[in-house]
Amino acid sequence: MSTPTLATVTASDRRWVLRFTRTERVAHWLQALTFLSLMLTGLAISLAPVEALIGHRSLLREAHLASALFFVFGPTLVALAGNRRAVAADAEDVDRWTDDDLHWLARPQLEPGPSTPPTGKFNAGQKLNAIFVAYSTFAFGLTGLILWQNRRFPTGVVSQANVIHTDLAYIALAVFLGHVYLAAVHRATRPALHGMVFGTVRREWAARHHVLWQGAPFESRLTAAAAVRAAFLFLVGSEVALLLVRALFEALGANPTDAVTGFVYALTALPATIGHHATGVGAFDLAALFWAGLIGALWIGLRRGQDVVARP
Amino acid sequence: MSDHPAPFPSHRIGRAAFLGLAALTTGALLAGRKLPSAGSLLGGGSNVDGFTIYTIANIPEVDPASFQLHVGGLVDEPRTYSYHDLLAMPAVHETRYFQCVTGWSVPHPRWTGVRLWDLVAASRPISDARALHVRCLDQAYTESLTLDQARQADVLLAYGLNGHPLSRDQGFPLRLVVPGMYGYKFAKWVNHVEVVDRVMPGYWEQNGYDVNAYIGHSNGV
Repeated sequence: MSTPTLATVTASDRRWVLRFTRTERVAHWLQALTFLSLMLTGLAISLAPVEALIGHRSLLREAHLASALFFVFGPTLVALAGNRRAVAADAEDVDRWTDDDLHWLARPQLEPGPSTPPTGKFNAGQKLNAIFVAYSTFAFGLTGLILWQNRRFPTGVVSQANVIHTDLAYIALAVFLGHVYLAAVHRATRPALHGMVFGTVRREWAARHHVLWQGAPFESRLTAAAAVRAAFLFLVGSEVALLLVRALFEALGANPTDAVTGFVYALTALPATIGHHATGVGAFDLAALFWAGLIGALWIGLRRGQDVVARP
Repeated sequence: MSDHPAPFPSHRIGRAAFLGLAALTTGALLAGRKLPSAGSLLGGGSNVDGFTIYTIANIPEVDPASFQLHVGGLVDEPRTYSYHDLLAMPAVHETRYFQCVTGWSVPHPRWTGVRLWDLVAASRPISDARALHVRCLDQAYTESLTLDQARQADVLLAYGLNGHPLSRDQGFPLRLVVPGMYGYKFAKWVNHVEVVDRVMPGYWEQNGYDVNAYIGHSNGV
């Protein structure tokens, strides 16, 4: 049995092939925009010359924290509310490395030639980038939480979190700039940008750059009902994420006078979780568990049979 | 996904790499409980004497010849001090671990200055006095101390750090030094010390930081 590939596509082929579904694109751009916001606000509150110029430290700090919530939870929630199959296939692709991937990494070639090891939907560099993004989202989130709630952790741990958060930011900035260069500037790789904006790339380009990739079927039109359902699922998922954040803050004993913490508390002040300070943490825990369960059930119920993108 | 079995022999590397990196990071965080921090490769901001410099407005440019420190409010005798008046007073040295709420620290900063309480006491606070309200030349930053906190002998208005006059970004000419409290209490460019009848939360305290800033004993941000 031979696996169908794009290898037989001719150079004059002007047709398009789907590379990224709507779900993958929305998740990507949500993470990209929140990253940009985090990088700008982060630099503005940590670089003295910039800070002296801009000021508004507390406002920028709140913008940083609010962006962080969407940076950490947003892409996952989009993936869950949309086409989970496409995202899971990408994750699988990034997880699996062939010997050819390792050979490619040893001698990366942005414009593939006859001796370039064949690659699938993602080449080894793109796989590394995806692993780094996933890792840095985790590490930024963890160290950021410790910095946010710094009085709740031992001084040494906070110090360490600060060092990791800062160094990782500089590394991520370098990776980000490299990514933007390859996606928007470099002649050989910039056709990929069309795929992340509109979903499709030229078959001819894909046949040279992603020889082993089969291409995905075209996605269906986005119906209003599916869009509303996905948006509603995203909101419901956000509520679960904020409840989890709040439950963590309750466990840490956080002070809700912080503006963003206060906002999280306000959004999660569902009936029976209000006024928990008077009734004790135990009451909040039970109520939060109830709400998380109810929202989770709602999610599963709404997901049944739902597919934003048509199946093959 | 099992829909499309990989057509070529492959190694499951991605998830392992992610988990390995995540475990490494968590380990490094936990190691912070025991080990001193290695220090950032590049630092989070401009680094002066080991301090990261934060400001909320412009860094004021101060002419020491015309600088005046005002001590007033609920006192019998409001007073004004020139920079040279302060230099002429008995100098006090204080060396104590400096800790910022954002995580970085300076192990042995050596402050030189005058005792805050000497200045306050000289103006004789009236019986209603409960706290100090400190204002700064950047027209933006404020801080607070209760009188009991301000009475401690190690609380200074410092004009020197590590044997040198304060630099502009470190608060020249005068910086509040409250050993044992988080760095945000160390207001820079201080020019007003006002005695008041209740604690007036300072700039960061209005933004959720603790009014009582003793390291390890204050509540969360």
